[in-house]
Amino acid sequence: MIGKKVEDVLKEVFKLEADAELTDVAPGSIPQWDSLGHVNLIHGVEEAFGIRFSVDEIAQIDSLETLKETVKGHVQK
Amino acid sequence: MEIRPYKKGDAELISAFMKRCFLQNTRNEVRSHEANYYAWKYSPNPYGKPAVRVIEDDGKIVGLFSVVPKRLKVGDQVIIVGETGDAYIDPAYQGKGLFFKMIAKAFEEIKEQSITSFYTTANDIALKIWTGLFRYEKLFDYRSLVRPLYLSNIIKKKLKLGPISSLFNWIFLLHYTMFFQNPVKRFEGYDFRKMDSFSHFDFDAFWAKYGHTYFSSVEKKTTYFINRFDDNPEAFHLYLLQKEGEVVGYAVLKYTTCYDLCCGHLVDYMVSHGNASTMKKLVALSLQALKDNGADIASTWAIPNQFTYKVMKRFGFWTRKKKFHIVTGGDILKSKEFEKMKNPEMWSFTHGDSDNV
Repeated sequence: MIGKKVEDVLKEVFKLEADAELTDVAPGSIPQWDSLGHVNLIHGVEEAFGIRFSVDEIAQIDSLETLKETVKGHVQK
Repeated sequence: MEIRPYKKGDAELISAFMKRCFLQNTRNEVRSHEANYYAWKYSPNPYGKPAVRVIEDDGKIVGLFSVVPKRLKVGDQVIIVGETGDAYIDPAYQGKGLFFKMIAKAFEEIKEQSITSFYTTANDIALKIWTGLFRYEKLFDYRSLVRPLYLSNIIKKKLKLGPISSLFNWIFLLHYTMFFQNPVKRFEGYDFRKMDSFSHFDFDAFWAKYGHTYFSSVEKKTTYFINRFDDNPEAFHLYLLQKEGEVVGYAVLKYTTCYDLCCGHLVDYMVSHGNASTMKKLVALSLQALKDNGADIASTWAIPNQFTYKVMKRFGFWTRKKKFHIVTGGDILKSKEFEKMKNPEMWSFTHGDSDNV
């Protein structure tokens, strides 16, 4: 459920098709995922879940999978 | 390809990288320094050792980030902060997650020196990155200001209108004399003296007298000036404004080439906070010095609505459209003084407080 919502945010932020395949997604695998794209993605996820990441957490986020894990860490607290 | 700490010998590669980033696009020398500038900037200074990370690929530097320790006055306290800057990555290497990793590594390194508060200057794009990824907060905006000094030269060099340029210059001078303070005017009882070295003036005493009139400022003591300007391989010129033998203000000037014109920078300045009368004299005499030394254009930074900005505007400086921001991050955000720091009127902040000039 959380994972699906994170994927939806990512698709919306990077303007991907709704049925886009999201395997091994990380900066570099999607052209839009550069520094500014990262800012928009983090902001989008924070808005969607009503959470706020720390700098250390942001530093750990280097793929869609680690983003999902970080969100789960917040939501399940 | 690797992200690694700066090492001796990198300065040449960094200079080449920064010139690739800036000079070919803007022809603005302010951001395209020679290798000896980087060797100076990244050497230990009186407040600590800069943390610098580079991304190297195939013998070339393709990414750079630095944190340089400085002392910042905040209310009655002085704290060591890191000026974060030189955050660049070659466009061909963007979108691989390298930029963030490089910055995170430099932060880890600087925190080993117990430096946990940071500031930087940012354009709109950099502001998003600093606030969005590094949780910095914006303090306030500042503006870059320019003023023509020799319109005839600007017209000659840029518009290639040699014979007509004298006519333009005459109209320009008339216009400026009529509508703005005339920088040629002399002030009775005042002296504007050029010093040979920053070590020849007791900035400690000046700071003790005037520094406290500002709530926040980079601490401007003699040690700072010697490191920032005398040790710096680029040429900076110190002028002291004296009234009846007592120093009431100073100005630091520098010359670069921008778009084939000689650009004179009013890099750093200070008078007692709110003393517009002294500031007017300082600006007038600084403009005269820049003009006497062949500058076609004068450039400086100022904070809108502050008395210094109002004086600059009175002397015919134009505010450039692009906004810049002063942002801060780390433990300083938790300081009880943080809310007061957001008041731009209580700051002394000049172009020289960013090391990029």
